[in-house]
Amino acid sequence: MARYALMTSGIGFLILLIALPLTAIFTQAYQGGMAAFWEAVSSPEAVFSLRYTLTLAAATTAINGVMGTLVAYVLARYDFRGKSIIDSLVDLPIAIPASVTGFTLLLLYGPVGTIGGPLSDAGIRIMFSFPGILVAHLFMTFPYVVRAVGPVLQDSDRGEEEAAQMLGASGFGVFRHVTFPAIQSALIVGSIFTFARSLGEFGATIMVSGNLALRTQTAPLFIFSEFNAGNIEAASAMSVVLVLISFVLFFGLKFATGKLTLGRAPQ
Amino acid sequence: MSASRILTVLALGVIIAISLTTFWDLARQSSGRTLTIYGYSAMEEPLKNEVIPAFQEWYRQTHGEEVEIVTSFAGSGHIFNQIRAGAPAQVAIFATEIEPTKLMEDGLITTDWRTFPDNGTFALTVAVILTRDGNPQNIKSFDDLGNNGVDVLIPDPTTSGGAQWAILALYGSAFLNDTGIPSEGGTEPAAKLLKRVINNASSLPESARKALTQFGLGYGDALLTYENDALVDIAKGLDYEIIMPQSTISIEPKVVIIDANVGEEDAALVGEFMDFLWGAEAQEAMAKHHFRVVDQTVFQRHAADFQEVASSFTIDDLGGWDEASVQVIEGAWREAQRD
Repeated sequence: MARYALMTSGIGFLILLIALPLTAIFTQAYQGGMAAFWEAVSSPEAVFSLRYTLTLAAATTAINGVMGTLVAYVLARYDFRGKSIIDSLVDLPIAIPASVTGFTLLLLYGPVGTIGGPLSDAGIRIMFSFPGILVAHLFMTFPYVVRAVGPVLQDSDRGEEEAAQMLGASGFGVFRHVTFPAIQSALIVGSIFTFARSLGEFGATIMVSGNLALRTQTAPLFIFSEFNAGNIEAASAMSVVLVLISFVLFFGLKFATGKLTLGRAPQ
Repeated sequence: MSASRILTVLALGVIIAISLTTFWDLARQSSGRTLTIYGYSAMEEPLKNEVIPAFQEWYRQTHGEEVEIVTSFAGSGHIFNQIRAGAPAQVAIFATEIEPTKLMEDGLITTDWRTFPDNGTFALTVAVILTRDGNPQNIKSFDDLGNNGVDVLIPDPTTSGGAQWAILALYGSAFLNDTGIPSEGGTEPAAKLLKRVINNASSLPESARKALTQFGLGYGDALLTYENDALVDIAKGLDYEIIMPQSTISIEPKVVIIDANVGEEDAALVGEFMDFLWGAEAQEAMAKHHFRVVDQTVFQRHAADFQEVASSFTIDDLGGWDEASVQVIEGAWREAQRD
């Protein structure tokens, strides 16, 4: 009996909290029928924003996949003064309001900023263009790969790496044949979380992108603009597309990694 | 290869293909003539749907060349911050004169918009009250928005130009008498009205357009907004009623050139676009989208679409922007919020 009570309350809560609002989006999006839905998501602005978002997410994942693994490796393998401070820095992007990240970057890289000033004198503009949004996304998603890969590296036996080294393997050889296979699954989990988070990033993006339709407008910004303009149908339709992509991602994650426990991924 | 590996490779392939083609498109876009326009929310429909396509067509016929127009629309305060932070806007349309004034102080604007026709206003509107069908709360005036139990939606003046106008409308309706001069009671009745209205405000959305969307979702009994925005929703067949107060403020948006972002090669294009805004075609389009346009011939053709305004006052009656923004928006409204 207790089992059913627990199951009902647990799953009931999940449905109320997550499934119900999602269902509402679907209903909203299909209110005008399939043709209206298709029209909403196939406008040039909508198609562009979706492609732009996917591209950003891919670039973000590629860079943070590599750099996150590097940072996790450094934190797991080396001891140095101030390590715990660096370690805490990694998680900060989760706690800092996205808007703070946005305006900080805007100030730093803007025409009057420490970095942006000299760059803008040289005619290079980072904000309101792909590189600026990418920097924001790299910042916002940084913890995911580090926190997925880190514990695996910590748990894995350093002896194996040392043995390979003694048997004559090069540094890269050790990474390629010993370290990488151990962290592969964790890296996939971290990457998917990174990708998904980047896909939905809004708070920092709205500040640094300039929200230019067909230029720098990501899918979440498209939704925001359409909602503000009163085009609830278009906003809901794009939301449905993003929800579906995320669902496929997380479902695919389970499929691709098979036995992998999701407990390792950061929340 | 296992099924999961094939799927992973396929997914990666698709994502890489999308990324490469997007970059390709972005690279291709940046060649050719481009004009970047930022506008406050209410400008989105008339500009995107009519004025810009008409200008592009005119440009093609006149110069035998294509011009690409990039746009971004949001609340006045938001586009102001973006432009100040370096957004590439070349032409910007603000709901109020506060933002252009600051941009001029920053040196981003060097051409005074007051040298343009009509002081830089190519289309006007007025502040009105939008209620549900049948006006169940029997709201007749700005003063009634302070009545007990009226749930009022008003945008946030820190980000919304529409909100600043709305607050000035409230304030002016209590501060000025019917002939447009300060009434004997001084500023006290106006401050009191702001206080009563803010106590009734259930939400302060960041733009006038967002406030309208919220109203459409069923929030609030009354919305203090632009007449043109209200007419957009009425035209959509929504069951609202526009209440035109006895005396309201005449709203004058400003179009400006962000000179810092206009290179020598773009100056002519920007000038042509500015002229186009005052031309018959753009004026007709703005009137169709519920603005009270400055071209009187065009306006007369559409006069029947608008309610008559018994008496209207302007920002100058409240001492001009410099004084009004300090006294009313940063002064009286802030104080009303704090109490």
